[in-house]
Amino acid sequence: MNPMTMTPLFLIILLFGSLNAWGCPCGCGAANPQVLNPGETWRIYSALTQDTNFKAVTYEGVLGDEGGPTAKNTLTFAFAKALSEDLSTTITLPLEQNIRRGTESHYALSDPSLSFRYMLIAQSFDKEWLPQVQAFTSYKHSFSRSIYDSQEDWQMDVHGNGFHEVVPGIDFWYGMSSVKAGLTQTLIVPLKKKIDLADKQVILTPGLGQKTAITGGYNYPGKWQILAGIERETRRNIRLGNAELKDSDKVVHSVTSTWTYAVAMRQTLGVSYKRTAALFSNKNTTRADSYTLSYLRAF
Amino acid sequence: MNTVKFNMGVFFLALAMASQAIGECQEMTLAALKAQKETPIQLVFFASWCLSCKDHLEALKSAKNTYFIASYDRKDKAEDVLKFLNMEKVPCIYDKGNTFSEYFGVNELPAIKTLSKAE
Repeated sequence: MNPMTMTPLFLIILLFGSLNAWGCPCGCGAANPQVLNPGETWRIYSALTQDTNFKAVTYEGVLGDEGGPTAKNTLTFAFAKALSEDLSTTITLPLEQNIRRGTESHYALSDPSLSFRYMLIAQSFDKEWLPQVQAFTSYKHSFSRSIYDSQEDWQMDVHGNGFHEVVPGIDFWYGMSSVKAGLTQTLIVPLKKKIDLADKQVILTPGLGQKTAITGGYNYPGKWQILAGIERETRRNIRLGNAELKDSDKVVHSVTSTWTYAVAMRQTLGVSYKRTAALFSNKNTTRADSYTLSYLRAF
Repeated sequence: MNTVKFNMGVFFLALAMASQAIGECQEMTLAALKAQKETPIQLVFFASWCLSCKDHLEALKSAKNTYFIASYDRKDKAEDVLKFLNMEKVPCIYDKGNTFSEYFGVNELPAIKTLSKAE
């Protein structure tokens, strides 16, 4: 379903949901479906995202036209399950629709991922100064077509980046008081793959990447929460066979903001906005505006 | 027959509370708590990650006929915060599976509920 037709429906839910909303002063569900609150056994998360206004960012950081789809709609389902008090796992399945000029479209399942998250330090008010610390690792399986094996014009069948990826990371979060703050540091380890190049198979080795996300927010008055953040993602040069492709490295600075509303105990609706390549200098990436409507239910 | 059941419930509850180690939140069934309803019982729901629960716990630490119920929390963390507030001797129940909070309709923390004779 087109997200634009879904928007009024979500707004109606948001409006009427607020009439009998319950407060949640201490630990409403975070926007990230992977993070289970203490005592939660599982979570379901669904989100509808529209990415638009694509602009290619060259290796010199210059904005140009993007030669692919003009919009992408993604329906994401995630299921998180607590395996023990400290360990949880999440499966994420995105279904993607590429649209070009409102007439052509292409649907496919995008790359699914499986992640594990371990609580190293749980926050409690006897040690207010200690943040919650979690270690996590995820595996993204390259399932869908990428720019390396696209068969359609305008890359309409591209729904993934073409690489299996292992993403370990660490997450620090101060979330007990109304003012929230967090830092997430991840390492992105894409795995090698063989591609056909001029009737010859060569090994493509993507560059190691890292992502830093700094988030701040405010919870008011227990039902509403607003989070805003800055992300910096970098990836090293790609290697083709033994040759390193100069200036194939990637730099992306993005801004994010998410408003969530607790419609009931352990149920939240969220509205998010993200602009990729929004700040500072960026390289070999795509600028895009991304709008997300989400629903999260914890059990 | 009902009187016998009630007395046995009270006996086992008393036994359980007496055997409870100081500073430990005990896992208890709702039925066992309900068995002790000679007078209304005040139930204070809290969690160690809930900053605003701290003030409630401190204010009610000396209240009579009160059970402190650690909900949506880890048992060890709940016990740590009670120790931190010098509340090792208060009766504490660990709400395993959040059955108490669901039964009493606890929608937010901290929460105070009353278990009366009528229930």
